[in-house]
Amino acid sequence: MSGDFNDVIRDSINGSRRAQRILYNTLAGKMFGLCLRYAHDETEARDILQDGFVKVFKNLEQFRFQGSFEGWVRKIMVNTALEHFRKESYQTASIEDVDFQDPGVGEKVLSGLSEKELLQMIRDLSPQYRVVFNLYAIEGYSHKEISQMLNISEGTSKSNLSRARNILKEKIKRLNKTG
Amino acid sequence: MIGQEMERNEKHIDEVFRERLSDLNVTPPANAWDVIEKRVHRRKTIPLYIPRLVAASLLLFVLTGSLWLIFLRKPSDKGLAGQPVFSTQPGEKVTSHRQPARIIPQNSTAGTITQVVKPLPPQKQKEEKISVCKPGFILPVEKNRKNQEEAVAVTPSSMPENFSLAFLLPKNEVVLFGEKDVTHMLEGKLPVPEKQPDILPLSPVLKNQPVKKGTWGIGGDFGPVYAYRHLAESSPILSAYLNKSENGIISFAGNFSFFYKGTKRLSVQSGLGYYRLGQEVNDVIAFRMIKSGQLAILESKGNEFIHVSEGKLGYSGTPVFVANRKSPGGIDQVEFLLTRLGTGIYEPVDVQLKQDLEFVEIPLLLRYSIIDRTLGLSVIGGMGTSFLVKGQTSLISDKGTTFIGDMYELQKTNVNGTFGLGFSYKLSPSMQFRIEPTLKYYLNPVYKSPDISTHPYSIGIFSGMSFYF
Repeated sequence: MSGDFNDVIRDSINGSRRAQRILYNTLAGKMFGLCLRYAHDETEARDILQDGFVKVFKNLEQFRFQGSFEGWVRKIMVNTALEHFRKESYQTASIEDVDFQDPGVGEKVLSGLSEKELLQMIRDLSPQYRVVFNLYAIEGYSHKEISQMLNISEGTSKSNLSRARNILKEKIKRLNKTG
Repeated sequence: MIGQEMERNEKHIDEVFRERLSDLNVTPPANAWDVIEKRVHRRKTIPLYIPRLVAASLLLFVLTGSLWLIFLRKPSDKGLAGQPVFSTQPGEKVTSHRQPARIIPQNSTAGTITQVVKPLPPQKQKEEKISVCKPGFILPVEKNRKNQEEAVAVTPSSMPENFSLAFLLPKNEVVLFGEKDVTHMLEGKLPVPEKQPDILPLSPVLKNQPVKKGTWGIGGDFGPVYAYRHLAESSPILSAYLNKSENGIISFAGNFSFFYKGTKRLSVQSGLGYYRLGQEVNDVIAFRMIKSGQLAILESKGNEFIHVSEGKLGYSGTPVFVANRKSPGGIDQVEFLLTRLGTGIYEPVDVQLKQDLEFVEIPLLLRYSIIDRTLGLSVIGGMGTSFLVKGQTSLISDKGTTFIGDMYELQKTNVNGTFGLGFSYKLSPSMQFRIEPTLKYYLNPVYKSPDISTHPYSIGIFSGMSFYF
């Protein structure tokens, strides 16, 4: 992290709206991309983004200038997304998610998909699958950590991930057939 | 072979999504920043019930004031002080059914008014007083039964003989002037006493003037309170543990009051009060993820690993998992909980909980004035109904304060008893400064648990003002 950017953070801590705007502009795009992965639609993603940035600015003085600022903000965004997930009480598995046969996905098929299509696939997952897939496959948390974060068992976390993957593969396979 | 293929396939799909979406950059909606900026910079919001309380207090004040104006205020109070109410021509005969008041001239080198008769209705003659005064100052005379019959109600038909002019003073007292006085005044001179006084004038009563019976007043006070709770009828082990792990806090409270002074010494008080009580809970641990530093959270509503005496911990805020370091039975819970959470993944962190209980109260108190002078002393006692408006718990760690959630299983409506001492200083006959050490104790348990009986209490030193109409 550059010294200049640290100065922007310090100014933001001191309440400078201009500095806060710079911080927001620097990270808003990536964070909104993150929020879109956790949210069901853009409205929810915007709410998560706004709640998350409010937390960022209100807790900015707790940032210790050690490690990545973006990583720190990302963590807050993930936590905020999880709070939204809990508020919505997505605690039961969706009926649509019956056992799928592993369809197998070819490299060509995946590489041919756009970010928008991949994002839409994740957003179409039921909330509990979406959140586990995001935390495990994209953020890199372990099943143990996820089980604590979501207050579910490790087995449930693994099962949700497996089902999420199968649903995604099935969708990709369908796209392949129709394409 | 098939299993390896599947595993490769799964990792492959994870990698594709991670690579393509982990840093996905999407422009957020244009107005998102405006909303964030407003929320970050807006002033602290006032809880919804505060404006309601203020409105209710104002309404109460207006209603009380209106009632007083309409029904209780006597016509003689309405700004006639200092105005002549009637006069007679010198020498003119005035018929009176009663004897004129005994003349009590005042010995004053400054040359002051001759005499005053305090008119009272016949039914109140037993409490009659005769006062000597000079304009604007009223001097009390000790109650003298001999004077009872000498008091007169001064009306146009009962103007005492030898008096030509009467002035109405505040508090229904009348200054009477004789012919000589009036002549002197007309000549621009001060009245001259006719006789030496047979009762020595007491000190001016501007400060000592007794407050009239039937007086209404309003007041407000505010002050720091020490808040804690008393445990009754609980298991000795649980009580001992909670008394060891919990501490009282310094908080604050305030009251808006109105008074009705029924007699010289006794008054009734009611109004609205706000009390912020609570406690601190020590011997508490949370669990922090070693890798990420994130505190472990718990989703379920109840938490069997934490015991506090003021309600059951709910998780309407950030559901940080907290536990007593030792169970009420004295068993260390750290290793046990770490095993459940995952040894090597989490580490215990010492934290503290703070419980805040906020009440709005309608009191009904009696005040008995022991000393009613410039410096006064009263005894205060009574009861009140308290309504719980907020009961919540926050976690205090080295990273700051985190709101965990509301408490539940708390009584919403409670009854309390109050006892206090009131020290007052009269700034004027109608205005007092008050300092009042007060104890308030909740008579019913606030926590619905069958295992424990928790009675919050507060000891406060309130200071404030009162105004009597």
